[in-house]
Amino acid sequence: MRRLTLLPLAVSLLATVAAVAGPVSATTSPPVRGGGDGTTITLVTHDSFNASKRVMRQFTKRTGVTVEVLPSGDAGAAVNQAILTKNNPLGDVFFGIDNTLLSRALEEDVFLPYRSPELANVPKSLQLDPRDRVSPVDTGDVCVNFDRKYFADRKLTVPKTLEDLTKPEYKGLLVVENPATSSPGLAFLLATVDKLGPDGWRAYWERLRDNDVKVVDGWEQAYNTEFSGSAGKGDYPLVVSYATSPPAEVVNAEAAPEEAPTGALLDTCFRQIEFVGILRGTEHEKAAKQLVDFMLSERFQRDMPLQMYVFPARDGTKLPPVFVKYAKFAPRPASLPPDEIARNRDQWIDEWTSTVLR
Amino acid sequence: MLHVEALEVRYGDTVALDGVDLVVEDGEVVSVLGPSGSGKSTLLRAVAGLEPPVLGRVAWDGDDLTRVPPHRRQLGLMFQDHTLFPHRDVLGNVAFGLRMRRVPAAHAAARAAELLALVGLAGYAHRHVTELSGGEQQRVALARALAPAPRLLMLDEPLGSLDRALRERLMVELRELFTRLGLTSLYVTHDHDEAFALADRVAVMHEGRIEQLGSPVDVWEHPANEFVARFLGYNVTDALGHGRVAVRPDSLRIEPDGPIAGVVAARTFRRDHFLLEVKIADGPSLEVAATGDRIPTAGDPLRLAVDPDAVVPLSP
Amino acid sequence: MVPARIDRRRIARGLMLAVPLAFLGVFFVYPVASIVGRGLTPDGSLDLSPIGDVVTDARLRGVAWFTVWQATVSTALTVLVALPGAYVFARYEFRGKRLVRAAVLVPFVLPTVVVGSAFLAVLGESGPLGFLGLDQSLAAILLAHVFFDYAVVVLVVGGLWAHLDPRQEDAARVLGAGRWQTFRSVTLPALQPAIAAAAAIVFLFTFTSFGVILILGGPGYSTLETEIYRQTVQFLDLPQAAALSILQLVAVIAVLLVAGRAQGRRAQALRLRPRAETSRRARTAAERAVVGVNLAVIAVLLGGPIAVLVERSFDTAGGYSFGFYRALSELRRTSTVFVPPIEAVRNSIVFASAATVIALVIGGLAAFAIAGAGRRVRPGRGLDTLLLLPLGVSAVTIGFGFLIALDRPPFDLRASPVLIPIAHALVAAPFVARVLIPVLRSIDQRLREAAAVLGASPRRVWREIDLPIVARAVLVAAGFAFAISLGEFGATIFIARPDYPTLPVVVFRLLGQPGALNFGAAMAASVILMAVTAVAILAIERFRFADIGEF
Repeated sequence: MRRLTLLPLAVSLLATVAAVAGPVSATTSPPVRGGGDGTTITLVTHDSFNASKRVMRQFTKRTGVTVEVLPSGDAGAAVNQAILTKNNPLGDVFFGIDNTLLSRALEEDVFLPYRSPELANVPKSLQLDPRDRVSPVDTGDVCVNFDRKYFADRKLTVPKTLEDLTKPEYKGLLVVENPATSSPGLAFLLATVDKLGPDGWRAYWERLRDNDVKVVDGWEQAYNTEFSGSAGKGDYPLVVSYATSPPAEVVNAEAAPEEAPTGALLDTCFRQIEFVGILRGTEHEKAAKQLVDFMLSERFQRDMPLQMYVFPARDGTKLPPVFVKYAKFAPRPASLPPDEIARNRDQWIDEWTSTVLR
Repeated sequence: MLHVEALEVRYGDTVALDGVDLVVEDGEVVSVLGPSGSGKSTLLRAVAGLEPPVLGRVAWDGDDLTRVPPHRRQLGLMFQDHTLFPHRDVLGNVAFGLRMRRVPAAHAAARAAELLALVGLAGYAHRHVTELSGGEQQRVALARALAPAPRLLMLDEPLGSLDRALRERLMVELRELFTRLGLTSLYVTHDHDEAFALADRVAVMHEGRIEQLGSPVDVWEHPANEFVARFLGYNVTDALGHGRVAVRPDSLRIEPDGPIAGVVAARTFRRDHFLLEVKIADGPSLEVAATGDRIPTAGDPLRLAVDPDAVVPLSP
Repeated sequence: MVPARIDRRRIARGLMLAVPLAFLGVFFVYPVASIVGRGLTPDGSLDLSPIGDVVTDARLRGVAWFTVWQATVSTALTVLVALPGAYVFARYEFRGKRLVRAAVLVPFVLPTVVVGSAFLAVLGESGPLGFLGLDQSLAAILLAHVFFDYAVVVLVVGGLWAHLDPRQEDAARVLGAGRWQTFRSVTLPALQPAIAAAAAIVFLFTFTSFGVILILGGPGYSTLETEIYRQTVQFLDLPQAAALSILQLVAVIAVLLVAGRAQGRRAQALRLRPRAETSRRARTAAERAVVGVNLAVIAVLLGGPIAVLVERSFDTAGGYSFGFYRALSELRRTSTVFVPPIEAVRNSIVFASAATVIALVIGGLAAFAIAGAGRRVRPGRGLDTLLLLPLGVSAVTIGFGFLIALDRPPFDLRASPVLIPIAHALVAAPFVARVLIPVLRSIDQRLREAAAVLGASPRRVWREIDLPIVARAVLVAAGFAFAISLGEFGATIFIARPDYPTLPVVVFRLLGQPGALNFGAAMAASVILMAVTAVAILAIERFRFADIGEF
């Protein structure tokens, strides 16, 4: 059979054209129009970074700096990659390091100190690094979420505190993530360590285990498959997720509901703060500083909630209505100092594993 | 004219060809005869360039071919088990050699058709080779080897896998073909009937060496040594009192007063006669044909006689 | 007095070996050595104690044992289930055969997150098979492994099986051998090299299985791969990760060597026949039953989870519709992560095409170097094993190795899109070689000799004999390579990459956000990924090059 049949010819033609034209990159801004110094800097971040194209374009227009985003896996993977490559960094600015990982990165001296003038608008309680090697950009609390309909249908009272979760009426209703493999899972563990103390938290988890808590390895599985209140329609009406998951359910629902189908148990929250820092070794220090300033500015902070489902760190930032309505800010979230976390994390995870997974 | 000089081929420590000398004249058919393992196939492969010799040389009309790769030697080789290309049809197989020589397709097809007709397979051009019978496959293999008009055609037991009737018929056809085309040919077989029927000269090989080279009549009537004699089916014995001699097959008779005394060891039926294996006092067993009504059986004593001109003395 | 021809042949072989070796050296050995070296020299001096720690840790020994054990059982199970399937594909013609053959490769490309979700929908506590109690169980892991790797056995073994001469089996049957006996004494020995090749690959994939263990096994199950992930990605405990990687490497090499020895003698030259002649429609009731049962297995085992996914992609709040597909073009249109689906498809295809070409070149050269040389050359078992190693080493290790090794010109590829097809090819090339080698080895050397005597130079022998006979195997290998790249196997999941999102990346991003719309859109994107795969595989299968007939 000598002739090439038409279909593979078309496909290979297509592939060749596509290859010649190159893969399509989704950089944040179009080419700079007129003026500006035309620098391009790289923002190394995790896979959940997001921002409005419009907002990023405004940054470029104002400063002439183009930002290229480099997603590098989940938060932990991204931080560890930054540490591994600290002598030859992948980019200029790093966004997405949170308080559970902060100490390690600071120890490894990955960042260049910079005190942005915009920090005047950020609460002191969030500025965890006195040397300003990193600046807080947003907070996201990890809390237990509940499925409203499940509890309403069964006329069951929604639990409130951590302790409530061990009660018999909530037996087999809670799904949590493995702290060894999941960032919200770790945050929840840290919440129990803070709220129940170094001597009480293990016993607490024993009680949770006896109350048939289910453990899975990742948030996607817990939330999208096991949780009854979301797309997966699973069996568990209680799941460890984020305080901002309820508004996300509203925004990303197929049809706008009356009220959020889920809610967060504010007494179970752990405060997560996300930071941005300039990578030591950058060749574009000035442009990097401009980006940090921008990320702390009103414009960027206002854009963040609906892009990344986090709370802005900047005081007085106007929140979108859906957040105002459905996302509650935990008044007294659990938190632990970063270096305490760094020191004890591995050991806590080990103990948790032997207690719960046995 | 093919010249093989002192050719030695080794496989590891085993010597497959132990210093072979051979000349094949233009238009001559030389049969290479011998048991398995005697090195006949190795000889062909070495001449074709498929086995590197350790010593010696191969030359054609004076040109040294020893360093020339197989695809440039312009020799033809027909394999045992035909080895037709399964992914091409009959025409594709036959025209292969012509294609390699960049003969234009139309011309190649025409010549291939010519050859197919020659071997009696006209019209088979587009058949799948795997559909053919054994005899047909051999003919295609022959046509394929002949197509590029090689200066020497080598055949490695080409009739080996065929049944007797087919073999007999093809032997006759081959003989005609060789004569008609004036082919120079090296023909390997283990069957001496085949060898003698087709060849101008016969070479008998044993353990990598040529034991005897001569015309079929010469070799048949005067085997050079014990090995050749035995291979040809001669009875070898010391029992006649002249030292070791070879007795032509079918020349022993059962004779009540014969000079050789023996006892029947075994008896085999052979269509029109019985073949008796007779143990004698000094020397190896002899074979004798017996016909008639009362055939001796195992254990019977008998006496044998032989025609004096059927006895060939063997050099010690 | 060795003729010059032999030297030239050896030089050619040497060159053929050099290219794959160079590729492996730069993109595998160097990065892995870098990251393992970094782990074992934490303060500048070599410290091998982590290896000792790992070996003496009872828990980790248990983890290593479990890893080997579950991979072995998964492999055995997959071969057992898929071998009858291979038989059906090899010997029978049935309607829609081409489509089914493309369809079995689809599971290969699906992200484990998505498949895990589909499996859980069926096997999970609230699913229809929940009563079996397979949630977070070993059985679920094994089932998922069979799901993913069915195609490997069916296509690799089936490919060789289709060329076997059925008359060999007929001869045995006539001599009085029963069906089973014939299979054992005639067919199985002939298939042995292909079965060994497929089993080795399945073993390696299941050995480094990651997503399946995490999702379907849950936190109770731990393999070397998940441990390495944890140590490297979560804890950045490089010394322990390095020690575990070495342990993984040693285990893989040991198993491959043992398997290689068990495989024993080299493949025999086989009587190969064109496919068209060895397969036919099922005639008797028994034959139809065999075909039917296997098609049913495929429909249930492979089709089931896929059907769940497809169903979910259409199951919108307002009934079945294309809503989620539309959402793919609309969701977050204004944000930087937005990828028009067609761009994602294009990126996936571009990367996959590049990866396939690289894999065919590297794997093909290696295969010809190892197997194509002829009768008296010892099989290059060393290169064989080395070629397979990228499949058995943790993707995390390789990925992080890229990060620290390929960071200087001329190889500053860390953030370059070029690295993506290279990383895919690292997984796909050994695949290609493994598919080609058994077929190459079955070619009777005398066919090559016949061609040579008829005037074919060594290059032409390759072109006229080897290539047409392996052509079909090349296409199968190309299909696999394409699927491997589409499914983002290998280290790319763990490495930084510039924003050239492909379909799996789109799926991950959507799954990482709460909301029914995101989830539904992720399902839709997965279905698009499956469709692209099936179309691509079908296109590849139809490919004919030069005048090679359907052998």
